[in-house]
Amino acid sequence: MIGLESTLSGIVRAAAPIVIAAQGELITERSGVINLSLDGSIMLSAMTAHAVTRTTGSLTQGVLAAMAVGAAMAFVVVFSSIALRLNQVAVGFVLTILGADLAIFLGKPHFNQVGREIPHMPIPVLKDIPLIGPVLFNHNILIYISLILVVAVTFYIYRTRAGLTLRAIGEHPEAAFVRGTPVNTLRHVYTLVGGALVGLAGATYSLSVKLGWREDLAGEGWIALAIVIFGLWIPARVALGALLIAGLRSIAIDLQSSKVLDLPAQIVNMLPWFLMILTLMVATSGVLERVVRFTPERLQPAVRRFLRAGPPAALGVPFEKH
Amino acid sequence: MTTIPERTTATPAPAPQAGFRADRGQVWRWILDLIPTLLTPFAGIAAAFGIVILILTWQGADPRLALDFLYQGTLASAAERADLVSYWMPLAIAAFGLVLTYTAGLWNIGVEGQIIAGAIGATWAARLFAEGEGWRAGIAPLSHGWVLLLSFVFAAAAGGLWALLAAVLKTRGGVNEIFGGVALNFIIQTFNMYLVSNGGPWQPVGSRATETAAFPEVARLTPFGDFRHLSLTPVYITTVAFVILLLIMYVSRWGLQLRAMGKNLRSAFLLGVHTERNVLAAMMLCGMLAGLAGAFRVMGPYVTRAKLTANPSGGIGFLAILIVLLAGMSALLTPFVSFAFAVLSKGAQKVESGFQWSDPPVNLDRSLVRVLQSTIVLMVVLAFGVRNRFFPPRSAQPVTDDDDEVART
Repeated sequence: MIGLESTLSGIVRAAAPIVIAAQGELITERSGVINLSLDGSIMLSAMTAHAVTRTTGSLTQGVLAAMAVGAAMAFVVVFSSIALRLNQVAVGFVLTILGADLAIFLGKPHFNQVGREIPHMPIPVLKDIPLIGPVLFNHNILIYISLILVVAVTFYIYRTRAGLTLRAIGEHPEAAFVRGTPVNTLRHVYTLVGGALVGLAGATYSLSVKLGWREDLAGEGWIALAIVIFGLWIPARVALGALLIAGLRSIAIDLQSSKVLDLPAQIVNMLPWFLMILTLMVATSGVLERVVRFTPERLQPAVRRFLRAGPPAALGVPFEKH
Repeated sequence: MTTIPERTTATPAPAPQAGFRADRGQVWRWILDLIPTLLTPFAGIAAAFGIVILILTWQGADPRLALDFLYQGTLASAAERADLVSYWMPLAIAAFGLVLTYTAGLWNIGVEGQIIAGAIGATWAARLFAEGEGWRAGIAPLSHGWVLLLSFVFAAAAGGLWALLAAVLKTRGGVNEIFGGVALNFIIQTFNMYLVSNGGPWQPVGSRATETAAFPEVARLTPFGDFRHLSLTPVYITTVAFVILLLIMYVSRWGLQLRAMGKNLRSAFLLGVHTERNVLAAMMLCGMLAGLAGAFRVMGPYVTRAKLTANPSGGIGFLAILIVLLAGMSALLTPFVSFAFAVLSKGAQKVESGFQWSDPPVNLDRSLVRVLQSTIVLMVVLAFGVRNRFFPPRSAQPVTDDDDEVART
């Protein structure tokens, strides 16, 4: 593969787990629940995928176990939020630390052992298309899932009735409840789905991106969380954010290996965060409205919707029936 | 038409006596109320210990032996106790700062970054003003007392400014609080790496270790007696900080305002509390205390610890958040919970090495202790949730009017 194609392909591959985790968290947050335990969830599910695959020899079981772990962590968050009326941020934060510690502790026997890899599955005809072929169609199934997921989640949220309900319980659960929507049940469901996707992301890490289990997965979950906020809860933008981060990291790695100094690499490592902060500040200020006014009249609603900023209005707020 | 009496006439309850003497019934109810409140955290802690004991026996390790190793690593000898205290101080002072922000309803996840900022600040002061053992002062060499003072000032300023940045991003920039904290953590961690990694400006020439050179003696804290790792200066500073924290929380009006903000930000604002100013002030104060914690971590007193490394904080920030979650908003409990967690953290290493050398050797990783710490907090939080949901305290129940009202006809 030519240099650019292989670089882009590598970026798509490296971004896949973040994309999956971010989409999962996006679904959860759209339903109104913050699952702050992402970092610990990803570490624990990555370790689980690696460990289960090693002991049972089956990749499928490993992936399923990882998804179960992710869903279980998410379940603790949503259950304690709804049934016990605890603060979601507090529980999520404790779980993130606990998940990371559990992953390190339980993963010791599997530490630094060779892991299995998801089989490579290039799509025969499509992969030969110049440029986008190798970038999009020359991966394994988990990465294909990450690409399909973005489209699927966008379609679900914006084009289906169920997606409308999802948005409703995240924005204004009282109104949804009055119309007969089982708000809390759906929040449980969507949080579990989101958690399972986070588990899938963990499996993608240990079975595809960085084979085996090492401790340096710490921090990935925070990045996924940040990307959901940075992408302003819109699936396509979240995916773009993940690709941006992966791209900047790839640049940083190139710089690190080609020069003696770590200097430019460290600055490039900081760049994504600066960019994200800047973007968030711009997005929530009034500047964007003026930008929208510059576009032609007919396009303005679409542009305004694309640039819209803001979390789901009921995010983090427990819903109580009176 | 006669009105139907709303309740049967019964012996009227005695009117409340003048002065502070409550009737016996009220005192008894108050005690009964207190029992679940006290029991709940113990239930949580017991559950957590139960889980860890199960894990220990599953791994083939004797829990009583584990407790013994824990004791040996932390409290057995004077040297260990001194080392424990020097580990306890930065943890406690960071937790004090977090009590302020938590009371105001803020999530200062950026505290880890503020500790690192403080460490960088103290190192910078040493680089500017300390001389000796291969160090050249950047500006002018100063005496020991001045170097220490400036190190603390720089550290507190660095931590405070970093926290202020997160706060301003939240209030003026509209940047989500948690995201701002996480982002600033990553940024300053990366900056720290830049300073001490290969080719970085603070790495000594010719060294390949990701750390600065050891601070000269004039920039290190003074050791206390024979204890190489213990200095009394952090103890004094932390004690003063504790007293100030208690004054703020229990005496001052500002503490009351913070509590009001924590309960309901909007109501506090409508009642005239300067919420934005208080958010900035609370965050900045927390950052200053966290910065001091960072300074304690890099200033020794022993030469092997007096340097800026790639990871100056070692997770103390997150541990402090767990401590504050566990202690609730009680400023009084915080130093004791910090002590307990310091014991666990410091003893972990001894537990691991103790079991490795035991007969038969058990491969018990020290991360089990960290699992214990986070499990304790989780169990206690869940226990409080169960308690509030299923056995709400009487004060939270709707007022029933059978006790206190005189019967009416």
